[in-house]
Amino acid sequence: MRHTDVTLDNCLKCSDCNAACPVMTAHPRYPGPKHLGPELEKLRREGLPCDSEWLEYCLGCERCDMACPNQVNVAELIARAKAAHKKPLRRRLRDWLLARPGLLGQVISLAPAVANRVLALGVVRRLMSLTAGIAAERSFPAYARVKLAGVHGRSRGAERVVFFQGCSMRYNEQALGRDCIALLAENGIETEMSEAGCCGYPALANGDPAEARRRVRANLELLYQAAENGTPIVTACTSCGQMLKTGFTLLLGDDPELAAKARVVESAVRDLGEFLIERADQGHLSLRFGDCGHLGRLAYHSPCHQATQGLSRPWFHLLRMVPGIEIEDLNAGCCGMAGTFGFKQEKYPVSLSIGQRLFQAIAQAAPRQVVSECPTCRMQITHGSGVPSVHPATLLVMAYEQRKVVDGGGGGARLAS
Amino acid sequence: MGRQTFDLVVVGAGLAGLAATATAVAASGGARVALVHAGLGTFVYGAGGVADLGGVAADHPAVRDFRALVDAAGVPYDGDLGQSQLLPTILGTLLPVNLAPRSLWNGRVRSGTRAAVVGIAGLSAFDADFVAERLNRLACGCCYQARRIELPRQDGLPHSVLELANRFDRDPAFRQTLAEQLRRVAADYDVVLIPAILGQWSDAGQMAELETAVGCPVAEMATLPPSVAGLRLSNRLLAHLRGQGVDIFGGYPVTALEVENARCRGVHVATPGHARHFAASAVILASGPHSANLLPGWSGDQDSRRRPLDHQGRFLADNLYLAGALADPEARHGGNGRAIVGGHGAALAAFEREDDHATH
Ligand code: SF4
Ligand code: SF4
Repeated sequence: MRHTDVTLDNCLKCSDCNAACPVMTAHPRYPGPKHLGPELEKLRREGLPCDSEWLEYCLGCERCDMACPNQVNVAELIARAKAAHKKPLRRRLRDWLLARPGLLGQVISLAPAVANRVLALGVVRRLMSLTAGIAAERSFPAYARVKLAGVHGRSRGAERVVFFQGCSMRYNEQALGRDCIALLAENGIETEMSEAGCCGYPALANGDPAEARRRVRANLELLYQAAENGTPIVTACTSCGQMLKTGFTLLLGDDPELAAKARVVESAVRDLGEFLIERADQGHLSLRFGDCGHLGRLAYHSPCHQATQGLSRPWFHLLRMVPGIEIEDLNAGCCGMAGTFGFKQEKYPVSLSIGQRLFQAIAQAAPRQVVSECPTCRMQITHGSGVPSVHPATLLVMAYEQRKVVDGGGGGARLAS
Repeated sequence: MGRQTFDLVVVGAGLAGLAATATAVAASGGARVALVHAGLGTFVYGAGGVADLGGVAADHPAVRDFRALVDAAGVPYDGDLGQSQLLPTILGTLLPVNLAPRSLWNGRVRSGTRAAVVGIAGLSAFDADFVAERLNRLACGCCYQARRIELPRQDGLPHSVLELANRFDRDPAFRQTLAEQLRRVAADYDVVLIPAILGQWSDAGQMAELETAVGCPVAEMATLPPSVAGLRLSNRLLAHLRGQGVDIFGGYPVTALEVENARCRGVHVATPGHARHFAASAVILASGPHSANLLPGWSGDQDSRRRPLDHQGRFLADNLYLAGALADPEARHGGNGRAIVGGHGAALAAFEREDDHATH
């Protein structure tokens, strides 16, 4: 079973993991999960030197884990090695910053208008690429000052969820946050916006376990009470969801008291799509959707961290309940962005090369918009394919509003931007 | 605990589980089917050839349905169940096989043919000289000659079958170079035999394109793990089933079956955070011999509808069925044929059962 300490003898060297690894398709020198995971772990446990720069190239997509027939926790072994990996100063400084999207967001949102304009300047981006190793080709998401907090949709509901926003929603996508609130309100659920900060995944992915531990430690206290009371903790970001379901135990599991709390919180976490599809399953999802034929052809991309939660593709099914929606499941593998990975100058070409299969599938499907729940997948999709992308919650809210238009009940039809 | 409801849950994504899933989708018309697996079966160890059918008739509907499935998934099989033929292996031996994916079937022994066994410089996983020499010693009526081609190396690195397969999938220039190199060799032969490297995702159309460019049939031979031919079969079948609406939950094992009053209510899956419960009207267990521990009280026997029986000869649950190596633990040969027939039979039994319920 994954996320427990399997014996390394479980590995039968079948290479299923290597076959599934997106980086192996794009970089000829990447040694692959079999080597970086179970093979090097043997040496690490013997205390032998076996650090490798390639550890930085692991996306943490966990496709290797999903493919392994013998339940070896390959990606976790790699993540542990990443934590011990030594980087040169320049990359260390940059990754220190990328490990802290919350800090970045807090600073920038002090003066978002200025920061957005500065970050969009070509000269600034070239400067960042020269000094900080951030790919100049990437554009930064726009930051906003407004924060979503408090309880919403109270008049409607007996049921309540605690909503974990994540950095992307908190600093860049407040509109999506409002859509999620509206979606839940439509279903008679009130939403309490949690004060919890970064989930800690970016820190883990950048080989900074100390920072990751600080984040999960703080979040544990903020989320524990709600979880203990049986309130679902819902997130619309798949990587936050993956982290919230596994990271507390991974990073705090050594302390028995914290480990018990960690399990309580982890078991309360739901991906928003998972939460809604289970309600649909029990007949508790509002089906008051209006016809959305005007959206035109859509294509769905499922993020790696959706599958790693053992969820299949709830959002795809939810959208297919909307009359008039025409949506294709692209099923074309990893987008290559992997959170902060695609921002790193030296990793940028690999990132785009991994996404090639997905970009081709998008070109073939020729959709008006690509739908995906992960914020950085969406960045990569629009960057690599030129097609706009949208979170499925936004479309679902639109479908509810469309019905209201038809019913004459106020609320204008909105078009996805 | 998370909960979702399905008409059928199939556990295991080997050939048995995939055949069961496909049969269920075709037989049920719109049933909600979940495929739960904790890894990709034994595909990396072979190529999916069917050697015998474990004693069932050659015109069995399972085989007809399976061929329709692989056709639709873009990995068509060739061959004739009534008659086995010999396929060369990378150990220089000949293996009797009745049905195999087309790219492997192309290599079958046909008397009087001249075959080039083509090695790739820098790929140690395949020794063309060794294969040709051993095959010639078997005097099967074909003439084998070892040849060698050069393919551009990435960063000067040695090749691996996975690296070549990934490039075949992704790089049109690589496919063209491969075709040109093989074409130069092919001029003197009826068929070229190469190690299985023709893509993890490629379909019959891409294979046909390659053969047109080469000018003669191109035959793959399964290598030591990972067998690209097996991976391709697994990848394309899973993608096809997903396209058919099947929900695939990969990577986490089923930890328990929920059985109550001789009825299986569903399965528990050890997903992160919280285990998920899939409620089901029927469950097919096709996840290999290790899954026997999910069946407390099982005698090892099954009834004619593939339901596991206890020591008193009663079924453990009236809607629980077995397929694959779990159902056939002793079968050492013809595993793939048995898997296909078993998966098919279990799916039909599952839906027959539901029909019974509907009519009563
Ligand atoms: S898939 Fe699992 S068993 Fe196979 S080589 Fe990778 S880690 Fe080892
Ligand atoms: S986590 Fe993803 S990128 Fe990293 S080794 Fe595994 S499959 Fe490759």
